[in-house]
Amino acid sequence: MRPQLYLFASGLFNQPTPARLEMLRGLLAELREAGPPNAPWGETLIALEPQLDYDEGMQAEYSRLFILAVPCVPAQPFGSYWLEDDQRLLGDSTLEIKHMMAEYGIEVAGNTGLLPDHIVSELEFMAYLAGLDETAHQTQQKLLEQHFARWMPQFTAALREVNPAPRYRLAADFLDQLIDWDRLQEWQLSSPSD
Amino acid sequence: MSTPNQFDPSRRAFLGATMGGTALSIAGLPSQALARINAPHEHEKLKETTEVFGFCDMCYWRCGLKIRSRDGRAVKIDGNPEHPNNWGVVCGKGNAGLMVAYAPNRLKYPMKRVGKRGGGEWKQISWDEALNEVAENLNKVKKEHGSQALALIGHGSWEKPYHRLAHAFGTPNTTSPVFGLCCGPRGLANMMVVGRNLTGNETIDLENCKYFLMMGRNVTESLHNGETLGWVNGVANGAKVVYFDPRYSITASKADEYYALRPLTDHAFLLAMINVVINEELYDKQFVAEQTLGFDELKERVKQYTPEWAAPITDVRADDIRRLAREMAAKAPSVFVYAPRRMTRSSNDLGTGLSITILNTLFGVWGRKGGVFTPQKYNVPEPDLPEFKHAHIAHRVKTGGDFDFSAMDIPSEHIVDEHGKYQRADGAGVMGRWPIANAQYGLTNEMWRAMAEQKPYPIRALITAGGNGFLNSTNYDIIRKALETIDFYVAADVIPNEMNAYADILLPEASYLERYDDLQIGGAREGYVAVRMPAIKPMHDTRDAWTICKQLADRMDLGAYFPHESIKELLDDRLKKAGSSLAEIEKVGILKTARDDKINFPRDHGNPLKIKTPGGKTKAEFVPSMLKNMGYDKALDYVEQVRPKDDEFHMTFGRVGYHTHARTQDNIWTADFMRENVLWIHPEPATKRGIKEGELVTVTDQKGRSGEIKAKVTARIRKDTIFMVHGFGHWDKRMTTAYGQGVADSDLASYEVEPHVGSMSMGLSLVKVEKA
Repeated sequence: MRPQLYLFASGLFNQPTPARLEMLRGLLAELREAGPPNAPWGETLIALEPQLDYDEGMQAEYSRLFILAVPCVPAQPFGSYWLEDDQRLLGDSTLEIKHMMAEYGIEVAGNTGLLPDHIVSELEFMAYLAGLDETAHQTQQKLLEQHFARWMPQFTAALREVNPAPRYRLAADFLDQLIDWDRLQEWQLSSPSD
Repeated sequence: MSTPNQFDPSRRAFLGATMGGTALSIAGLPSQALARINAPHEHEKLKETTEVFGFCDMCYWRCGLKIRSRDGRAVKIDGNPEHPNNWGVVCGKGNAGLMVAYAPNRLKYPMKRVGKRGGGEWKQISWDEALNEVAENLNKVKKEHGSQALALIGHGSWEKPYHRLAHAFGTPNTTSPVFGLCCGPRGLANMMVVGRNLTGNETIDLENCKYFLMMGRNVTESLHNGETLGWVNGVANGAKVVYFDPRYSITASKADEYYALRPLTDHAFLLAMINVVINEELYDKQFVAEQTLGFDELKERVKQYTPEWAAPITDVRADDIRRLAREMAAKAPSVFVYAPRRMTRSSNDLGTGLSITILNTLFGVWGRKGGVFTPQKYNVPEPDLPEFKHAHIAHRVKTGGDFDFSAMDIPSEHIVDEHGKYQRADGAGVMGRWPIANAQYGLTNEMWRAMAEQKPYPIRALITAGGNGFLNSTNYDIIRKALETIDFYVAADVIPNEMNAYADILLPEASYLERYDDLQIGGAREGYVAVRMPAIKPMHDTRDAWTICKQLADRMDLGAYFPHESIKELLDDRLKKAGSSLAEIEKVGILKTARDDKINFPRDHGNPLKIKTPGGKTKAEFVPSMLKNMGYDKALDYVEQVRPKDDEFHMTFGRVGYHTHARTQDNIWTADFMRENVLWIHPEPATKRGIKEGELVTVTDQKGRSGEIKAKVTARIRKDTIFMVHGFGHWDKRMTTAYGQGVADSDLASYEVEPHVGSMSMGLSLVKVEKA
């Protein structure tokens, strides 16, 4: 179920299109049906369900939060923005993600306009790794501890500060819950550390 | 006309594969971000270092560059040692160019406005949607109001294809701030007297010059690598430097003599210099006799401007003026009267420019070693294109124009010319308005006014390519009204700013590190052509200017004006006509002709200077006939300038070595050098007002415009003058580094219009300063 969880998280932060929201609704149903019992995001998913219809108005909200807005983008969706000293994009932390992807024979698709450490790319990368066998554990652990855990809580905190539309407030909740939960999982604790 | 690709959101949403990659699925669903690497083991190649050539975009000097990349990331910018604009040197701004590409605040995706104009709400759209929308709106304006109802304002090397697009569309209203807001009057003065403009990359033989008389040319701070390097070498070779500026700049500190000239009185000082040079017969007699016209008239006109007359106006002693004139004459022709880079200051900038050119001409500097060299050209033909509707307008002054001097008093309502074609809305090159203003670059200040007032005819659509109307110009009310009045505004740029915040459609451009651009063709001692190559792939979802314009042209049935399939094809086509190719120039970055002293310094080799003035003369004109025909020769005479009252100051501004215009304040690396501007004020007026170093002060002009800024209390400025560095005071909160830092000089500078040229007289502003 971890691939679906991360894919769902990734989709929540992608530009909303009718097709993507349809996919998210499908994933949500799947997660509610088959998710881990007593998962911390249970109520978040219930609250998210009515928020996943396509709505033209969400385009402006998505732009305001993540792309371009006056006053300014409150939650830059790039890992390096939060991890590099000078807030630069395509920093060393971005290249680390790029190299990690390359080790698994994948890259960010050229037509997406995304960087490797865009939140959509990183979460989808984790979804991909989670679907592989246990040889990917070490990479997942590195991704989770050295990237997600270091910037995504800052990102979600910044997001909450600007009173986002319910979909994005819930998306922030879901992402926090997923990362906190995943960091405590047995798969990670039992895997050898670097 | 080629058919535009139709936007298909459902298709776009699920495209997961790269061009070469294969689709990926995760948990049974198609990937949205990732794709398989197509070539096996590709990641093993990631650490390879590559190097490409380019030219800089951090200021308008355009130094030659070598850009190193690794792992798909540009990592170091070096100078191209073969490029005559910089000979391998890169400045702080140039180094910070990497952060243009990697800035978190840059424009990343095509955006469409969703709220009210200027309200700051957009949504991301696809390129197809954006380009279709632009084409539809421009065609609508053309249908309802005519093609002249489009204005284009560009600022930067990327603007060339936009000019082509706008000309193809059929408007004469294309403009760039370079003339009306910056160098116009001095370029025009040179053109009128000797038929060459001497702006852009000035063709001064700096290394061999023996005497620089610098009229506020702050060459060490308003710096261009090749120019600064040449000047430094000239000084090292023994040149004397005499520097004039109300402020003791870094250049002043390097000078042999410094004069704290009274602001705006350069013209008076220069007229007195001319007076001495003529009266004491210190001029180049052979050159004046053989290659100039109007000497006697000039002599008569400057008779009244004695050093004793100039001394109380300028605060330069009469005997110093005489001595400087004699010293220069002793070193002539290896001397140069150095104009300021920007000459949009006084109410007679044309006169100031003319007096500089006249003085240089009297010293016979043209075509002489240590003076002004004649540049060489590298002939690279432009592509063959259909004729533009208003092509005849662009080169009016340069070619002598097609003016009807018998019709001087044409009212501004006269909006079409004798061919039935629309005149420029800004009046540049238009009899009865601003006939001598450059009709190719126009008067950006007057174009804003035309849009705001919808006179002399409606302008309903605007394209901007780079630039920032607010912080580059000075009349915010006019600019705001213009942006609110027009029907449609599309902005193309790399960064957000106060002007493009009003755009209906925002087109995000690839930065200069991510794209090919049209060729850089320059004239130095050697002629050259240089290439700009992409060091990295375009970041985010950005495109280069040429591709944007080509794709717009295709959508507006103007494809014939963009006949090449790609910018690379255009470059290759042009270079092949010049006997080279894109592949060849990509190996070296620049192709050059060899230096040739006989061409550069014809008068040192017994050959006359080739001259053709706009007045049609083959000799330099001390009193330009074209100006006489228009009654503008009155600019030769001194005009009294504004004077501050006891509680007022002259408002001055200028550049610093690590920022360019209003484009670099949000660059995190250049901001690290200088985050905000401060107000220079002399200790005496500061003490009188109780102002201490670092304290916040309020600056207010006579129109009531004001700003708050920290004080720098320093004896390095005249008591009647304040100074601040240009380009700060951004109020666009999207610029998270630059926002709220310092004060915008542009909102305090004057917006009076120079009465001969139509350019702005920004230095006429008088301000009061009080503790905040």
